[in-house]
This record gives sequence, C-alpha cells and structure tokens, in this order.
Amino acid sequence: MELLCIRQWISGLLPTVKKWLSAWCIKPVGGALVRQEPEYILLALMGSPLKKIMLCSSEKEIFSVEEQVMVQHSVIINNMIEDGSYNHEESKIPLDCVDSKTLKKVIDYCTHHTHHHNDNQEDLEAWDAQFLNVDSNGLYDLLMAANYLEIRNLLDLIYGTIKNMIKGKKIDEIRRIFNIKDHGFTPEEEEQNRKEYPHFY
Amino acid sequence: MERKHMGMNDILPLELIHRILLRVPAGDLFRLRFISKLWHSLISHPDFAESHYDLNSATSSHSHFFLLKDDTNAWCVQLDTLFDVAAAPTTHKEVSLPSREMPSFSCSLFRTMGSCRGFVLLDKKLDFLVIWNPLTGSSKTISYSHIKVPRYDLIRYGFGFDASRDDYLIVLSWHDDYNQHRLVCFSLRTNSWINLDASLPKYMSRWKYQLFGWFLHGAIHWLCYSRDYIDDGILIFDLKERSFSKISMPQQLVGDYPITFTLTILGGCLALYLYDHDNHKTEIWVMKEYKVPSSWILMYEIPYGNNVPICMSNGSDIIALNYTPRYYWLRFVKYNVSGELLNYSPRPLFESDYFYRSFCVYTESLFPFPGDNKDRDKKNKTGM
Repeated sequence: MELLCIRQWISGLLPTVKKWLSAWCIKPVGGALVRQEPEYILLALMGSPLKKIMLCSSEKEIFSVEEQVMVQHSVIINNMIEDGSYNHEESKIPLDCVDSKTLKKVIDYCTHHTHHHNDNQEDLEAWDAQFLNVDSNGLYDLLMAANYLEIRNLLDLIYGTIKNMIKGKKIDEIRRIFNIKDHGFTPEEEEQNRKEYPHFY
Repeated sequence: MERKHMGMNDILPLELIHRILLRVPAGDLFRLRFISKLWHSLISHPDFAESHYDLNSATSSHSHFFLLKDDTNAWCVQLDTLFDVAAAPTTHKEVSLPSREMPSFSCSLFRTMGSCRGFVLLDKKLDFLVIWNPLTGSSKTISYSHIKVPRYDLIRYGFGFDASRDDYLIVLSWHDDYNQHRLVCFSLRTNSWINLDASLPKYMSRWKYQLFGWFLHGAIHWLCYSRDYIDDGILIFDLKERSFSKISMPQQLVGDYPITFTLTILGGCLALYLYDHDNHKTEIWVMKEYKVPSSWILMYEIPYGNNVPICMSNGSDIIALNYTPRYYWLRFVKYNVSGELLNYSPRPLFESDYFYRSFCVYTESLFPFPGDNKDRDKKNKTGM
C-alpha cells in the first residue's frame, strides 16, 4: 500500500486508535517525555519505512534525516527532491557551506517542528528560545545555514532574535554584543557623532 | 583573523545584514546609522527607506499615536507596546515640535491634519503649515497666509504622496469671495503652489466636506455631505491623475437623518465611525474592498463610552481612544470584533480635555524630503 493510502486509512480510524495509542506513545527521550505522533508509530509498526535522505556537511559528515521533515522546511531541499535530481538509493546532498555542528542544529529544529507542530504556541516558543540560546557566532552560522537552505520559519525566528538584541540598546553596547571592533569612521567623524548625539551612545 | 576576533560585520554577508536591518524598527535604525560605516551606508541608501517602509507599514508595529499637547510639545505613543506594562517607559515620549523661523500671526493652536509616510502635517490656522518627520527631525514650513479665505472654517486640507513624481503634496480647497470653489496644491519637490481649479468637477459645489482628508492608495479621501443627504459619500482625489471621483456610503446609512460620521483608515481600508449617543455605542463600518461600495460592512459595535478608533492590531482587533465620563481621563482600549474589551492602557494617560485636541496616527519612517538626501543628519534635533 502506498504511503498516502495508509495515511487515509489511519485518518479514518484515528479517533479510536489515538485513544489507545496515546497510552503507550509516551517515550522518554533524553530525560524529557516526548509524545510521538500516533501516525508515525503506526507506520513504524506496520513496517513502512519513513523515507530518509542523506545530508553531507562541509566536514564530510553524513546525517540521515526523514525526507518529510526537510522537505517541509527547506525550500532548497524540497526543490531538489521534487525535480528528481536526488536519487534516494545513492545520493547525498552536499552542503559545503554548513558545518556539522550547525547542520545538526538545523536538523534538530526541523525535526522538532515537524513532529511537534500541533503543540501549543507557548511550548513551541519556549523550545525555540532554548534552541537559540547560543553564542553570537553560533547564531550567525545558523542564520547563514537557514538562508542557504531557505528555511523560512527559522530565518524569521533568527531575524526576530537579532532584532530584539538590538532594540533599545545604545551604540556602544550593540558594538560589544556583535563584536564590531572596527566601525570604519575616522576618529574625527566618530568624535563628531558622539558630540552631536551623545544620548545614542 | 581568528573566528573569535570576528564580529557580525566580518562574518555575515552584506545581504543578510541588510535583511536584518530591514526588520529593525525605524526608531532604532535612526541611531544604528552610527554603529559603523557599513551600517550607515546600508541605512542611508536611497532605496532602503522605501524597502523598510513597505516591509513594516503593513503591521501595526510601527504605528504611533501623535497628540498635540500645546504649541511646543506633543506626545508620541508607540501603539504596539501600549498594553505592555514592562515597556511603559519607552512607550510614551514627549517631543518638541520643530522650532519656527517665522513668528505666527495666528492666535490659534496647532492642529494636526493627517500623516503620510512618516510625515505629520501640522497647521497654524490660515497662517502656515509644517511637514515634520518626528523620527528624523526633518521639517519644512510652508506659509499660506497669501490664500484669502473669506471664512476660516471653509478651508479643507489634504496631505499625500504622488509616487509617480516622487513628491509630497498638500492640497487646499476652499470657497472664495465669489463663492467659487478653489483648489490648490503645494508640491514639496518643486517648492511651489500649483493651481488645480481645472480639476474640480462641476458638481463639487453641492458638497461640504470634512476638515482633512486621508491618504490611501495614492489618493486623498474626504467625507462629503450633500444637502439632500442622499448623495453623501467619499470624495477621492487621485494625486497622479489630479482628478476627482466619488464612492458612496454604506447603503444602510444613506438618507437617514444626518448622522455625524468620521472617516478614518483602519487596517489599510477606508472606515467610517459614528457614536450612537442614545445607545452609548460606537459603530465602525469598514469598506473591505477598495472602491467597492457593496463591500461596506458593519464590523464593530463597541459599547461603553465614546471610542475613537485609532488602528487595527493582530488582524482584527481595534485599538481606540476611549473617553468615558465616569473616568476623568483618556485611556487606550483594545476590542475584538465581537466588541469585547481585551485590554486597556495601564495608567491614565491624558486629562479628558485632550479628547478634543488634535491627534493623528503615523507610521515611523526614515524618508527624507524629495531630493534631499544629504542634509538629513543636520536637520532639527528633537531629542528622540
């Protein structure tokens, strides 16, 4: 049976199935209780493998991730799969500008958001805040990776975070936060600016 | 250079820094020009203000409420953090109006006549007008005391932007001594007055219209009343074509005993509101599709006192200025479509007599005056 038919069949049974599945869908993952979507459990039980794809970081490390997850989030990967240039048996997608550490984080983000898209807003926001609790360099790497892979919601999230880091802060503090050591103004220009707008600094 | 010595400017490509800056509120951007030369060139680029405005004006995050306090000061209130107690210190700001080079012969106070792309239009009755961007501090004073208006209450104002000519226009309309309808406009780009009497359609004399118009979709809109009330409608002056047209009121309101409507713009649509004194509620009608009279719907019926709608928030909630005689102050309130009170401002803001003062809503922008890119930094400081 094709994946689509299985899903439709499950949806028909879902209310009843969900009830008795929810009893044994609780699975400890890294100390936290994570609720798996009943559809995925049932599919796994029925032996229908979820299609996986291989992503290769700049450090030549290979990450296996569900196709569904990456296709939902990354426009670039979605296009690659759709136009058939990706061969499931052999290929891996080379991502030369994303290092392993960042790629792992990006995969984490996409996976969490796919599996938990039904969670309430507050929980998702809390998870996002925790996810972005990285140093500025890590944040830049995530931003560039999200931009390269065209992951809209991650991009918006990072833009929002950086915007909040900037909002309301004075110039000296912003330069410190973003490690902008060489501002490019001549000493005379910098002095003039400070004199004219002292309250900005 | 080692990674740990590198900063944002070294690591991120220009395109991404540009996109980050596009999302930063205009209020912060003005300051951010001095972070580094790179940021200065990105923000000061002629196209940046336009891209930033287009990206941000749709949301209410840049809407500010502008209320004249007296002839020298005004309040600017940030509408998206209005109900956020933690942000209270930065939500309200008192600003100084631009200083005038010329003495005023008018003994009346300033009035606001609307806003357009971050500029607020102030009027000193029958004397001069001031176009002012409260964020950047740029201002221009335009005298119009040479226009002889037989009665001060006959003059009508409009302020808008003609994208085709990259020009801001102030439109003045009045009846002269011979009861002829006159129309002129001031072009900011050419710094000159243009006579537009020829654009006036013949049927104009039947109408009276409200004091100032609203700018939307490249045209200025005034509410107009006809003597028989049946022809009431909204007068539209297209700034590019320099021609008039008219659209009608909601069918349900036509022909009734004259009700005092007020025209406004909510969520990018024309809207009319009126206060029903008998039932103590405010009705707000919205024209959902521009220039389609059949798309007028009664969207809100808000109880409890006189509510003047200011802007939309979160898609369909309304932020309004509420005057309830029971409380001797003005408050901002937020209602949803069902008329339920969602929020009200944490402390009394202004004494109730400010309800009749002049106010308007504007969206912060970094726009300079047309053809004026160099001297932005040197314009009047407002202490913002």
